[in-house]
Amino acid sequence: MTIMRKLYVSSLLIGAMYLIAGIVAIVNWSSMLLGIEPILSIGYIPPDAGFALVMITIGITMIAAAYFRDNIAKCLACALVGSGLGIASAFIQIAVTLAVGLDVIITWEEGDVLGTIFDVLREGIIRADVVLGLPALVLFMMSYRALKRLL
Amino acid sequence: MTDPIKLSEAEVGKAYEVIKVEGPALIRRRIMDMGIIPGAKIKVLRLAPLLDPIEILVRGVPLSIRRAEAQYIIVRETS
Amino acid sequence: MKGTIKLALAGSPNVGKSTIFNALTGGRAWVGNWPGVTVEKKVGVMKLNGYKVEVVDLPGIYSLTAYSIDELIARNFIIEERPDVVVVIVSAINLERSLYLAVSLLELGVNLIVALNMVDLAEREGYVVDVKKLEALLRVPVVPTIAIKGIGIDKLKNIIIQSISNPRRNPAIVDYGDPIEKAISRLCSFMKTHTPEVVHTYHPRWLAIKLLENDRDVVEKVKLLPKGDLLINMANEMRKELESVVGDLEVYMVNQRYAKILEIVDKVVRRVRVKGISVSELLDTVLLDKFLGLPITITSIYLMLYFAYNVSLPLVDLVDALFSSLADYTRLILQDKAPLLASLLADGIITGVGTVLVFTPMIAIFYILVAILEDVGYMARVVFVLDKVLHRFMLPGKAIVPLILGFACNVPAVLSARTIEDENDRKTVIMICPLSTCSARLPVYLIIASAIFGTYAALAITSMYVLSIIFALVIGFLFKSFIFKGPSIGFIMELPPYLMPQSRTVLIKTWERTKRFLTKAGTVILAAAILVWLLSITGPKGLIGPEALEDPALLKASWVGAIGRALQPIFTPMGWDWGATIALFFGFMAKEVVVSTMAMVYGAEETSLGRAILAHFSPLSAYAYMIFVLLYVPCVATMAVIRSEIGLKYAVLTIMYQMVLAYLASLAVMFIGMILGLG
Ligand SMILES: Nc1nc2c(ncn2[C@@H]2O[C@H](COP(=O)(O)OP(=O)(O)OP(=O)(O)O)[C@@H](O)[C@H]2O)c(=O)[nH]1
Ligand SMILES: [Mg+2]
Repeated sequence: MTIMRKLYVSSLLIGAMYLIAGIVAIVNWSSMLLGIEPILSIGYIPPDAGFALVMITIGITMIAAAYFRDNIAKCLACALVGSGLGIASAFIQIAVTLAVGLDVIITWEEGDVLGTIFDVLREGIIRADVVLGLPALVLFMMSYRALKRLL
Repeated sequence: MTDPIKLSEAEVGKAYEVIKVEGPALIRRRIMDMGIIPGAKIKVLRLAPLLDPIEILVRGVPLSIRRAEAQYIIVRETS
Repeated sequence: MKGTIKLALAGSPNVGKSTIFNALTGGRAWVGNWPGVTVEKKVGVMKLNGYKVEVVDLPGIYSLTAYSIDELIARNFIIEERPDVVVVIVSAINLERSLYLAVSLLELGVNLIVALNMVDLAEREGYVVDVKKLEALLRVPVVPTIAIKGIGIDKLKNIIIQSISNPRRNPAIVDYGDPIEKAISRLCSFMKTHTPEVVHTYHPRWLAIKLLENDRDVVEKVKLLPKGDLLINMANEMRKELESVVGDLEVYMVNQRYAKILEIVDKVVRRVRVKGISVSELLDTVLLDKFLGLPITITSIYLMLYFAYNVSLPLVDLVDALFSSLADYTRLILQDKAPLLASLLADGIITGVGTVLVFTPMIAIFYILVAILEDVGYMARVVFVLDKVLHRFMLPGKAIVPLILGFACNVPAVLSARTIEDENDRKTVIMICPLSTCSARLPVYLIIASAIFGTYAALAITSMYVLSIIFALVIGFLFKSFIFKGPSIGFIMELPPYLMPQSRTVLIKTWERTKRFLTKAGTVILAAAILVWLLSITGPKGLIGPEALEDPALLKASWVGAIGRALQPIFTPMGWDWGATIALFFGFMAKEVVVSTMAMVYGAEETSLGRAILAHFSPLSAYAYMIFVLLYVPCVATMAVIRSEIGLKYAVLTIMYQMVLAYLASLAVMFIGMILGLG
């Protein structure tokens, strides 16, 4: 059972990171609404309610894996779905970033295109949802392997 | 033997047997065509997050049914 | 050519009828992993051994008793059009229930073939079905198939050839027991001697059974036949007698059929592996979880919209650039030779149709995502999770699909409402579809919100989406409680197993949905664009000329200006001037036209339109304007589909209620705003 233990502990940790990112985003978003400067400025967490929704959902789903640790099937399923969503949101953000970069070229009229594209890409790629996509990928592989053994 | 109850009041995770199907003719016929007839076995799999509809397993197939319709299905708990 | 053969594909919902149809005919019927994808019969042709076989794909039915329009279509086709061959598709993972229809069809005495589909999924679950035994027990040919891989299709074709050249009316296999069988044969012989017309139209044994069961629809139809009353009376008396022996006759008959089916299933299904937990069950423990189900559903929908809106951005801009250079180019070569024609093409047609076509990439991407979700089997789960909310507002759970599709474009959304069982429900859903804020409204919100609300812009835009859902639900509720009253048939939905999405399926569906959008753009919007152009360059005093499109002063003298000024007083309470009013008027054509019209009227380039808007609106009147754009009238294209789906009367009703609603809602915004001192 050490595999399961490893699985839910990592799920808990990664989930906590997602949850924190989500909470920061929602706090920043609310403070922005109130017209105050973002209170918590950590890394690249956009002050955006939609972003917060996604991160919090992924976070609680991963954390649920630890909560259901006594039910192997459900614990696995939580880790699998949570990390799956994490990968999906990272992939979506990368795609969106590339699209915005492409859009800069298409709508380019004057100025420094390359510089602008570079800024767009940099800001897009180091966002929390993309960065956390990596541990999510690892978690997904772990739970997928465990799942194969279960079935 | 336990008392007959409406399927809408059944508990998650338990197995039941259908005793009777009531309700307006069309709804009743619909329910029976889906294989929910007296004697059929039903397992309540889960409630939707907002508690309605409920998911049941009938003849090996998961079905979603609203409480409004489930109340027409009279069941008895089996072990 | 040996002649034309009619072949029907029947089966329970979601057993793979359309997939088999496509495999047989090379057709493009819609396939999806949830019950109720096919809602109309679809005909395709297959050449077989010199025969021309007309294959008809039918909506799914659980039995020969019909409830919704799509089910009636299927049942009436089989019973009244009497196809030469019926292929009933049964699902290997759902044998008990899908055999029920097969058994009912045997009772009908049709020339039957059974296709045992999805045998791959049965194997995945760990059991096999003994085809030879099943064949012997049903006494009809049985062909195992895996439709998505095309396995078994050739064999099916061979069997079809055999059934064509050697048609058999297959025997009924259910024995209802002594007293009932006697009653059936008495009814049958009565029919043969006294009412030959009835026998001519219907299979006697089947009819006898249906009359004993008191099938509403059949009774109605027999009544109309000569001496039909006699027959019905006789059956009614027999029913009374029999019920004193076996209890409720309807229950008894269904029971007998299922008993027979159970007996068959017991003999033919062989487990080869002990049952473990399946992937579908595993995923559902999380995706339908008490706490996680709802956030995961909302997150999925959000991510879909986020992806579609943003990833399509460069494509949207590309199409936009293409159309404006096309317009420029047209002006360049035609301006001097034929200025009027140049303006018609460039300012009227290309710009008008272009503003709508710009959204094609976004819509197509969104539909790809929706089609994937459908094919995976998640759509049925979304319905399951959100059903309660809709039920509260007296709407059917399936209304969720049109409302989600509506976020991209209302036209395909209206069409997708066809899967809704109850006619009243369907009308209600179609009429609230236009409240779902389509992507064409986004540019209007974007330009106004970013000009007026600064950092609160995103919030203002998000509030439009939230309000859109709230209005759709509330209005739906009002319709259901006052106009479309009446019972809605109880709805029981199967939750299909999760499957890998098929690229062919996804692409076909995306293409067809997008094509409908494009067709509307090419017809209705083209006509509207020309009309608007005409009204802009002419006025009460005659022709003004294309200059009117550049000069706000001239435009004011055109019909457009006249209409704008005539309508403006209505909107005085909201503080909108004639420019804002005429922009709304043009928005009839397509909502995004509001932006381009404002740009034209305020004589501003779209880039500095923000400043112009700031000068013409207060924050309160701007928000009221956004609400109005959200709610007022469907665009021409949507009106056209509403008309073709549920008739002119309801299309007009939709337009009227939306106008009133939009007016009242924006008035309310002004009023509340004034009270709060925001004016
Ligand atoms: N694994 C597997 N999937 C199949 C097979 N046949 C069909 N499917 C899938 O089953 C789902 C339902 O197929 P459809 O052809 O749309 O079913 P239908 O009977 O036309 O359904 P309705 O039109 O809703 O009544 C789709 O997702 C198909 O890809 C099969 O043999 N094996
Ligand atoms: Mg179909």
